[in-house]
Amino acid sequence: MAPGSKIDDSEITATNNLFSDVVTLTSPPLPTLPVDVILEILCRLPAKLLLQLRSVCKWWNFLISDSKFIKKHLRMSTTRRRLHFLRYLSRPQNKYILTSYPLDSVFTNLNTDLTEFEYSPNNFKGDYPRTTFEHFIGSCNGILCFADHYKGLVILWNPSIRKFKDLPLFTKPDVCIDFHMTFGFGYDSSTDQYKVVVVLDYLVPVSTTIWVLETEVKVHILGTNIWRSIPTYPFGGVPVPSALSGKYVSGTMNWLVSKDPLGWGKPCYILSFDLVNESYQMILPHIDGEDMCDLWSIGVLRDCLCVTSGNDVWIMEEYGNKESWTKLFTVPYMRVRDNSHVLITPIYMFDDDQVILKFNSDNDLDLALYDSKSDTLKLTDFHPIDYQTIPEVCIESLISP
Amino acid sequence: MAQEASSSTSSKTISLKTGDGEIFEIEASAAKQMKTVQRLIDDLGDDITIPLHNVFSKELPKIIEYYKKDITGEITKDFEAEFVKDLNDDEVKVLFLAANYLDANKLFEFLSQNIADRLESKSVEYVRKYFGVENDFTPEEESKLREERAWSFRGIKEDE
Repeated sequence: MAPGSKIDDSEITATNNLFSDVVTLTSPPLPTLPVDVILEILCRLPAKLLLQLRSVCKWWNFLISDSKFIKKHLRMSTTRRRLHFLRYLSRPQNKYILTSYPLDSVFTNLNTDLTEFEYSPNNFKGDYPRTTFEHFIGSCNGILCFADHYKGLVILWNPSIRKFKDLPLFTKPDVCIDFHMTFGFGYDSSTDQYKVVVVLDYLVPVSTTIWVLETEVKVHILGTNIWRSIPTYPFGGVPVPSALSGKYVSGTMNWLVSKDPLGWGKPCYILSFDLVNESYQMILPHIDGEDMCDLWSIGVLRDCLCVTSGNDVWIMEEYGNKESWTKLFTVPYMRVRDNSHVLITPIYMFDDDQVILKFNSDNDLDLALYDSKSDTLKLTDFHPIDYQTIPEVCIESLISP
Repeated sequence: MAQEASSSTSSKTISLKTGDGEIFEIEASAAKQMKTVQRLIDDLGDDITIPLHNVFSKELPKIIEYYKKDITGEITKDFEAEFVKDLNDDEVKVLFLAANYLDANKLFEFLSQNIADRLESKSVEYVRKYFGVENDFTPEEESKLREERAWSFRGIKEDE
């Protein structure tokens, strides 16, 4: 339509019909909505209701299960985050209990509105030690990943739709000691695949008295049933034992690695693994013109990689750009029960700059809230049953693991 | 019909005529936020009354009120809460459809969220009626679906 030319009424009506099904001139009856408009509303609904709404009609059942809609829902889902805890019960039967709370429970201190889910994995083998070491590995797009180290189990779980998946176990090398596994869970957007990557480190004998450190890296793609071995990282060192998992940040997996073969000493670096092209990079926080290698823990805040060094928390604002490391805050001195080595794990940062931190001292694990605006730190009064483990924050999604 | 120079449009008002024949005035800068209206202005010129067959005199003033506030940059959460406070679910839906027809993006997104918030606590039957959707499942098919997702229909914790 050229500007300035005359349009007659019939063309306007035809155009109107494209936008709405309603074409009456008197007070209209309650109209039916076009599909794209319905989707704009549906993608803002919580997962639990959406699962119910699959019963509305066959067309809605199809729409809500469609992967395009699921991705749209994921994009809108940023306001629905929950805090998840994990524990293990051996009696009356082996099972894991996952408890989740609304994220603001750390402020309200309420233990209500919790949801609990029990899970008995299928891959249980009787000859594993009876002790457990269960913890979260991470979460991505609404899917939680947790592992039990002594049993070699890795489990994916979406709490919003209550679907879980056991990953296949893989074989440990035959003759070795000091065997460690450090898992990481992330997403490869180039292939729309979820991946679990594990770094194995152990000692093998080369003679009766000499043992050598070996490392291996394996990748599991969700939907397959194998762990594929890939070349190990060339920089040396082992993942730090206190860092329980790799951290996923924008298409990369990151582990805190120590050059000391036992993993406890410095210097440290961050091992970065690109999930798309499966290549490695060594990352060191670059601060005041120097590479900092006295790293205590790594984490993710506001979708950026962060490190703690003593009481300082640094964040890499632009992944891969060594000039973009900035100090986020310094956690004020905190009296802990026996003044021993305190490891700070950042858990989550709110929009108003308050941060949930976990303090791991030798005696206890406590959740604390740090307000960077007023530089105050306080322990929360929020005490869910199983606050001994490090919790994981996870958004809502409809994605099936 | 020549277009007027754009420097004078900021203080100009546009006449809109609803489907039930009433005429309302809005500022040209507000009209810019409603892409359908702007397209009609581009084609018909801004001197004639723009006909809006699918928007009625009940909704248009409310929409104009929203965009009046938007031009001055005064839209806050409080304003938005007040804006929909006295509307029932069906009134919001008609307003929402009008915003869709007018291609008024900001209002459309706000109302999408408001409708979603209203539906959060509703039942499947209510949602069906609200969207005017017919249930084409047989009773057996529907009860099978509900069984598969029984936990989502209840508020209590579920063991599996």
